[in-house]
Amino acid sequence: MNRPETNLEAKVRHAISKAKEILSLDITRKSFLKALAAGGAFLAFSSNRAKKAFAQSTKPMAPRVKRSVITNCDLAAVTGEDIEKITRKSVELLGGMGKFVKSGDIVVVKPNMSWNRTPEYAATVNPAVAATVVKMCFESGAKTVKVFDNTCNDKKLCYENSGVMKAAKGAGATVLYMDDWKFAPAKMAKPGALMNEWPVYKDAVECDAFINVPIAKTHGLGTLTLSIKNLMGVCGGSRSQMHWELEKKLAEVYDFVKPDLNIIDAYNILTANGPRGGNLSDVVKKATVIASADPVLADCYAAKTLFNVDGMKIPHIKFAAGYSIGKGDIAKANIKTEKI
Amino acid sequence: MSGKLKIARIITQTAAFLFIAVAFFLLSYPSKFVNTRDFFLSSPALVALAAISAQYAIPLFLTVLIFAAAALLFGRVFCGWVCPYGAVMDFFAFIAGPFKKWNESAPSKALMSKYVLLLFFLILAVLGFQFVWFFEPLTVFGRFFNLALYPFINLAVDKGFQYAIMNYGFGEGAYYFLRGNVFDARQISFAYSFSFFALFIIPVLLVLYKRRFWCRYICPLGASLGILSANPVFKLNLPECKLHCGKCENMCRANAIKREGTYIPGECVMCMECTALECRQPEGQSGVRNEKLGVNGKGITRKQFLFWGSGIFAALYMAGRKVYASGHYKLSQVIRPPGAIAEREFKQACVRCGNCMKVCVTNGLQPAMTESGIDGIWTPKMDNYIGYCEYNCNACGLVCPTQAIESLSMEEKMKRSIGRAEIIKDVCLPWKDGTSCLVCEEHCPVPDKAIKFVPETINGKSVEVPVINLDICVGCGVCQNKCPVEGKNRGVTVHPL
Repeated sequence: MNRPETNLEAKVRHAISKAKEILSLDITRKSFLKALAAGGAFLAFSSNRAKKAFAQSTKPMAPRVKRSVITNCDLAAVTGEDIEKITRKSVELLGGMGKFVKSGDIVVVKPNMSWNRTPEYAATVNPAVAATVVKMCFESGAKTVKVFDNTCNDKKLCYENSGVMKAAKGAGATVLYMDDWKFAPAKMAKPGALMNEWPVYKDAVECDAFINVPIAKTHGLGTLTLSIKNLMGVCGGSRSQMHWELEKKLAEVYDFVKPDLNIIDAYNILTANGPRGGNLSDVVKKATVIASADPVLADCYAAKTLFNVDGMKIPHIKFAAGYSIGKGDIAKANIKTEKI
Repeated sequence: MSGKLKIARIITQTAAFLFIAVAFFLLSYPSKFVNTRDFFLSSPALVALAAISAQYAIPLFLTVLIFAAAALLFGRVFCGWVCPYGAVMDFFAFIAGPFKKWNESAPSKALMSKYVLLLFFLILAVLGFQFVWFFEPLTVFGRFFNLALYPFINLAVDKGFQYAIMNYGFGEGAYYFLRGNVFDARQISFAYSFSFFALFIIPVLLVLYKRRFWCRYICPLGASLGILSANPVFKLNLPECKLHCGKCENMCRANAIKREGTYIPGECVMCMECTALECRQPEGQSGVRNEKLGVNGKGITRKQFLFWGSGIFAALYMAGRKVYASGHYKLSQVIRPPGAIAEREFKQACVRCGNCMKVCVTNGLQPAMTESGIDGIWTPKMDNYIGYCEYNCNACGLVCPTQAIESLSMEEKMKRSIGRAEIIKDVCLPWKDGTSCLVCEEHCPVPDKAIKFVPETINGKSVEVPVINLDICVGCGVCQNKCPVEGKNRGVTVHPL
């Protein structure tokens, strides 16, 4: 019976005795309960801490407060071959970028670069327009200019292929990819809003000046994508879900973010198969830039002059006018046009 | 000889590992660094068996010729000096070194197991079933890196910075620099990540038993290089042994050195550790003595292996042709990436390296399970619930090592159809309720829009409803992906071709 212990058996026996030694605690009911309580407290604390650390911010944001600015005219539309010149001129007619951007400001420039298309297809903002706006902000003394957009296709491809990232970076802007965790619920300003809360990008709200730079293009059938629609790009949540009763939601989001200035790029416009485009034959050169602080007026004017559509017949523009975001009466407005 | 060669090996191995790791890490679209597809093409076993089973000419790449030539000249230098999986094992052994003493000697017969395994894979390949990807170390490494490690690091960095920024308010500059220049802008994740990790880590843990257990007994790549280096031009110069102390035999990680002072060139991974060994015996005459790997004293020479191998191959090839002539293979059950070759060939030519899935910009390419048959496991499929095929992108073909996904130019890619979209009229909002919705049409990337709206009266309401023009639909699946009807049943579904 008593065969000599093999090497392996000795090792196992040794390991077991070691383990016993380590585990040989004097466990009483009291010590057991103590350990249980300590463990529970640790777990509760650590999980709470982890939740706190990684949870999306659930604290609702207040609407952005916009500086009150009186512009020289209600709307400026400048036509010409040189993109940089017409962009500059349109803002100058309103009274210059200095009205909107003060020294030391953190500025957000929100171009439309939502699609993975090269600039010539006019699905995204002309890089030269975006770059000029960024330059003007710096000339007015902006501290930082942030450029971002919540894209429909892959972020990186959209930023790179649209050419906006390169142009804006060249002008000195900070071009950022949007992060999921930087959205916070926007508590809509007016009671009875359709969306009680909707995730909006924090950087878009926590800034001193917000400049909206859309491109004029069609969107589906008989609808246009202009300055109000461009605010889709600061919204999070399910983009598809947002398309239900889109017009009301767009107005609410616009009212929340309150852009200081809208600069519509209509150098090349997309007249069919929008918003994504893809046919060069659908692109029409209008060589125009439209600037206004009033989005409804800007959209109505762009719809009328560029697409020959009555802006008030486009649901989201009509709803925005009713939401008292702006006035869409082209006849009564003080409009300056110029050709260079 | 002193240990200079050993030091050279360690330096080369580390440098090669770092280079390959960086290349894998930066593999993205548009390309930032070298294309790792050439790395997979350095495996003779992989290239040969994929080509045989798919009956498809795989473009040869220079690397396979370089390493095959190196094997003919010097032996398995790839295994010891270049292979990143071997480097991981050696590094793990280095870490575990202080806690563990290895006795590497083992019966020589057991070394045959990897050749038997390779023969088994060869037979399967001839029968039209390529399974070498399961054990081929470069693909095991690639799958792990592309589909498990990279997404993990990406997520960990994101969460780490998120923690620092939100709780302490620093690191924002570094975060945006890394996101813009080093990492992908988006988070990616893959199904079955844990399996890739497990298959990677088990051979590494076997290091605790024998340092190069995997390379000795299993590795198909090692076996293929072992055949090529059965009798290399330049061999190790061992001193004639009079002492037979067994020190070198116990130390040799490849189990190539025998107590009698002989070594098996086809087994030696050229780690050069024996050149740094202090041999106990006084310096004697130096001489070269080879031992052929053999069973019962009868060696298998390269000539014999090639003779019998080609005979078996030819016989099975003919048999295999017959099996396929009857053609009872189904068409694809899943949506394949654009440029994927015919379904049967695709499943065999695909080596499951994970390159295409890692570079897919929408994260839509995911490893399949058995949806496309048991031989389609872990092949890429498009999952339209996760992503879609980006219209302006031909990334997957550019990184496919065996060209199971053809490398297409952007113009060709835009014309290539991968599926057929269908409006599900019971689910689609306009078709079902008459609610107006335009999301699918908005996202359709085809210039002339494969989804168009036509007026229709639904439930007494006049509404624009989407219809699909299958003549120009490329099956990219963005319509299904973006459909506001969430859940499994969407208003539009893309079917495989």
